[in-house]
Amino acid sequence: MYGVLNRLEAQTTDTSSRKYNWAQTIIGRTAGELNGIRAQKSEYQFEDRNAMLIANSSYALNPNHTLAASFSYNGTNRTGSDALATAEWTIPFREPQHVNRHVAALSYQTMFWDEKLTSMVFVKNFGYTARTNVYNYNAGQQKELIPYLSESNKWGAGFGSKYRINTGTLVKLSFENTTRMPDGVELLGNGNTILNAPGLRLERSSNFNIGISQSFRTEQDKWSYELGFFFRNTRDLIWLGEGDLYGTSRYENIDKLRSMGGDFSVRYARKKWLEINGAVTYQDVRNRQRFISNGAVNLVYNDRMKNMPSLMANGEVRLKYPSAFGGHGGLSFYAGTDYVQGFFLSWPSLGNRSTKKKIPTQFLQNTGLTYTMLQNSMNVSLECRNIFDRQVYDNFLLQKPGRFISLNIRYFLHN
Amino acid sequence: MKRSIINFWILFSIVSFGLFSCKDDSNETEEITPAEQHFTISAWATGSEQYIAPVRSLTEGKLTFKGNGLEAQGSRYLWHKQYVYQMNLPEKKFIQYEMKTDGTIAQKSYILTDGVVPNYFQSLNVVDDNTLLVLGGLDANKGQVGWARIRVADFSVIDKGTLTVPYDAAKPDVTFYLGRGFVDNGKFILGGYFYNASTRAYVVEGTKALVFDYPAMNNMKVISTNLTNGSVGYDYLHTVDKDEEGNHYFVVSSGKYWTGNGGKSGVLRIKKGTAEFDPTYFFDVTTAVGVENEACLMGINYVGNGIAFGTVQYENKMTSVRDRLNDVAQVVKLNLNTKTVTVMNTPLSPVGMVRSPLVFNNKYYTGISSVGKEAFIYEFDPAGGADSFKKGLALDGGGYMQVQLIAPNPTK
Repeated sequence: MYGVLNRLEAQTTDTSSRKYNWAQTIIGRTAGELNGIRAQKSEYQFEDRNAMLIANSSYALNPNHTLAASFSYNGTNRTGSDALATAEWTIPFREPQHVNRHVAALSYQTMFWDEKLTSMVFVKNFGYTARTNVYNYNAGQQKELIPYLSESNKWGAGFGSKYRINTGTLVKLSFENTTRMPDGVELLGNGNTILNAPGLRLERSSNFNIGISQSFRTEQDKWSYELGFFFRNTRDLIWLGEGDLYGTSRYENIDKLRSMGGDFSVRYARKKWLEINGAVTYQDVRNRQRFISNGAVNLVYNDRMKNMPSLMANGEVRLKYPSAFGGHGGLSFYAGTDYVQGFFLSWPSLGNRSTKKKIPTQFLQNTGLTYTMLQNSMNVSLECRNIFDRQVYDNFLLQKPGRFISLNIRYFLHN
Repeated sequence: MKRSIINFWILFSIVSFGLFSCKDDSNETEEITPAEQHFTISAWATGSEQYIAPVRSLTEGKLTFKGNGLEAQGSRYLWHKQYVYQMNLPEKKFIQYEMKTDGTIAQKSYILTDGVVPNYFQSLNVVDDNTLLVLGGLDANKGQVGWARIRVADFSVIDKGTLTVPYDAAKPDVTFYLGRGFVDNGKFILGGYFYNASTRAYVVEGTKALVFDYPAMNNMKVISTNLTNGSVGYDYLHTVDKDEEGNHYFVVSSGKYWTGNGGKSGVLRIKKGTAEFDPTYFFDVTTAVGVENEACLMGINYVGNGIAFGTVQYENKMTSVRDRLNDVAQVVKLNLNTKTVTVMNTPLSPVGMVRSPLVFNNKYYTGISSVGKEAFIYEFDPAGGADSFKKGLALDGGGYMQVQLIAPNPTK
């Protein structure tokens, strides 16, 4: 059994009155910066009180049959205030909000054929209550603060099995019908750029996974690979929506998605001086909602998911010299690469593709050198990321650093 | 090289002679064969995604944004000459798109609003053929907002400044919000509304507008009328127009869910060359449509011969402002001379369609996108009755396609 109590205090101060250009000349007045054209000054502060409890127990019916139960609880209470109390976006945050979640699970595990076949069935219960507020139109002329209470209880179940064909080959198979409940940030926002999302529904999905991994070893070489495929039907995907007209965003549900894809990774090692590994992931995530909530045909039915890459890959070659400098330390050098295929910010099928907003393909190269000494108690790493200084993005037009070089020194007092 | 220079001068001379020889010959210019007429339409496609795309006709065919159109964000549009302007709110860019004779549209330029006016260009106005006047202010403007004049030809800011709008320090929660305006006889006449943030209600005592000296943009004067209680010239709807004689008509919205407190909505007139509400003129659309409907006039477009088309929202079908997204809006034909209303027999739709309809070749065009049903551009004939309309261009996506703008591409 494990329990944690957390308390978090945070404040967002947004009291700018002037705008400046790069020459530090005042170019205009402003009333705060957050919330785009609806910006108003704010000194919003909030306090989160979070309690978490995890309990596990298991009982071995016999050496091959085990019964296990687990329970986890996570509760967050948020209170907020704003000394300036003008910004509309802070209004829902000033009233107390809370979100409580629990997951109770019961599983039954079996092992047969000299533990070559391990299987598990499980059932889960997901409980969720949330009290939030929304500042919106209700039954009057103007917006007002509306309390919003959400309660939900869902059941899920699944099956997983893995079979070790021989010492180097493992086959895995699993199916799960599950629920994902919104966490604190998703439901309550982050207190500034992410607003609360009172209407957020629980995400439900049916997942099917199958995979195989194999390894081969000779006296000097070691090969291994892992190949996996997945198929997933998701309802009400919880997703951070793009910024709205006011420059803020909030989590929202995407009604119905179908995802298919696979991962492939391979590793090679020769003696102790060479390691090569690579991985590639492909996913095809599509909107499967035929009609939208008002009954109209969904224009983006069967469209690929917006703002989500389909193809990603990475690779690395690492050379090691374990007894460099007369056996007093170890030296290693690596060169690696990361690749993310470009994707559109909005639904790919809408609009002219040549003028659509796009997160471009990113192809980065990195390298580094590490020296380890004092019996691994200390290591010094010199690393250069984005060697060719390519333009890369974390999100749409949100730039990540270009080429940068870092020196990292780490020392363990106890190793 | 020398031969090339000589050839160049010969060619230049021939071209120059050709240009200068027909410079003042207007008959020659008119002989240019007009290109086929195209139109530009902007609409919400799905969720928060908005696109601008050209179409060949407003009366037939289908518009789809599948693989077609420019991405756009914002709800304030203006078209003038061959240009469409849009205030992109997240990026705070005022974008100029050029509509071309070949039926295409492309972004030509943009102005960042920072440093021009506070916040963004909220009020977009054409003051003469070569000049736009934009205004912007903070939500809590404390009586000071910004203005800028923009030259159409090179899309640059000619001049800018601040102007005074009503503000009472004893009532700091009451703010004047900018609306649309027009210039006439050296005056800029500006609509807008007053809103009380503490009571969360519109403040309406009669109907008010502001008058400034133009182009100085100073010497503010508040003009008012007690013919009705409401607000004129809402900023992102088509709320001001003028007739053949140059008289100006302001939409006055008095709805309990739209810039008023549930009074009589309609049309107020400011006669050409004057800077006062015409004390003899109020067209009470709410009563003419039927008091039980609680109709609030949202916008109008003048067609000709005293006829305008507009849109009302039936507030008896609404319980909050949110309901404007439901089928509560109706097209009406207004005879501004006889003050009679013809309620057209078109389907109800959300109110979004009112933003920027089009009058073209003496016909009125607007999008009607009833919730969950097929959506079309409708053509209205001012000469007929309540059934004098026809469905035109179909809008792929049905009820979600809320048309924001319809504009004609140039043909020459």
